[in-house]
Amino acid sequence: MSVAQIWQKNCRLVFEYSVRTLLLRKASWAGTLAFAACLAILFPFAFGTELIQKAEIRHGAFWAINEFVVALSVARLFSVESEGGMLEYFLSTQAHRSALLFGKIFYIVLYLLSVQVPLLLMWVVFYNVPGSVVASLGTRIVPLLLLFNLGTGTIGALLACVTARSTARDILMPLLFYPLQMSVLLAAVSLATLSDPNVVMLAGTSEQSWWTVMLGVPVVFLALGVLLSDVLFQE
Amino acid sequence: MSLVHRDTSFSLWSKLLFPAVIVQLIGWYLGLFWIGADKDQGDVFRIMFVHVPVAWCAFLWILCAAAFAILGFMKKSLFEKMDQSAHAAIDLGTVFGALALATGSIWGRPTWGVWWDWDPRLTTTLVMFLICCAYHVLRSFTPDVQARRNAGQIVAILAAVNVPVVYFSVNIWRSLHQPQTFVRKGSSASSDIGTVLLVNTAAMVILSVVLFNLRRTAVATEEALEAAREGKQQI
Repeated sequence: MSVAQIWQKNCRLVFEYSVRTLLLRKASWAGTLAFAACLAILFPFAFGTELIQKAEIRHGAFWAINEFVVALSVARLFSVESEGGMLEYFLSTQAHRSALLFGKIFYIVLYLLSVQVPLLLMWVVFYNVPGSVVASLGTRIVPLLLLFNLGTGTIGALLACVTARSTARDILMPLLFYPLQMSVLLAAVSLATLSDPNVVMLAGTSEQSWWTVMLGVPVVFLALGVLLSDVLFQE
Repeated sequence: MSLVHRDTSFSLWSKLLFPAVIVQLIGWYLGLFWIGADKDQGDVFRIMFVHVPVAWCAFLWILCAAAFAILGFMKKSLFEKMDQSAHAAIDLGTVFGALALATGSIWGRPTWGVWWDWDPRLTTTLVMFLICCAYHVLRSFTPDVQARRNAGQIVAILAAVNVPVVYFSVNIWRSLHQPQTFVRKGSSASSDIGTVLLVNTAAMVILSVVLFNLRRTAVATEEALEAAREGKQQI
């Protein structure tokens, strides 16, 4: 087997292991979805039920909920492994560290998507999103969600490794995560709002620049992840 | 035997303090009395001779911190020294970042009518500052020295990713902040302003180099003390 094939196999194994663990612990997924639902209910009360109908607020609320969901999910990215002692096992194997990281990133992208699908339905219902908005979002929502998950998931995975040996992870994770992923959130909100037929003009820049940000962030942080993978994962 | 060896490089660099202060005083004199008031902004624009140099120093030291971190990872024999240098550089990046935000805000109030605006340049600078703050929190919450060094160096690299975003934000997004005035072709700024700005920037850079060496020595001393305390506790 070539090095690339071994790497691919390791990556797939980590991904499959994470998915299987998730299937065994469905309460974790259900808990995340319930948390998202709580936030979806919270925002109309925070902004007022009238204001939440405004296109900009509506889109902003959806991505802000996603943001909190990502923060919660990435903070628990290695929790199952560290609780069960599997992390030491992973690290003691010959598997390349970047394969471990990529396996976990692919897993978190899929995990977030699995929460976002029902969340999207909740958002359409709770926020009375008009059919025209849903139709206009239709073509771009999947690439948007995937790129958003990949960007935030990569940053989150890197930070989960960085803060693994810190005593106050619950403080450190959001403190590092929110500033670093701000550009992804900004780009996602802007692209979603731009597609809304009810929004006349959005201050800012062209659609192309925002897509560049959405694509650029995962590329930069994935590259950093590969380069720093040996340092990120240490026994 | 003394705990900390006398650092000869520090003594050498500290000699730069006097010329730095002299050049800075000349720069401030030129900025306050030699240059005339701006026809649009009046005397308010003079704060630029502090704001621009401190912002440049913030960029410089955050980039230097990343360079030290990369060097540390590449050359294991220099790892400890490079970590101390990266720590000192991030300290300076934090202080200069805070000063850039504060002076920008003071300038913004009479010019834009607000202390703060969610403009791309301002927002990205704030993000850069927050990442620097997170670096310090991360270090103080990571008790294991090796893990602290690794995590700190990774965050120093991550912080530098944001520097080009801050720098080019005025070009990428439509911004309230003016674009790069002196780098652009056909710049509207007079050569006198450019000269005074250059003097002030040079002074601030020299001063920051002196401060960096002071801080690096302090970091090394703190670490030596910490190691000595831990050694004493173990005995």
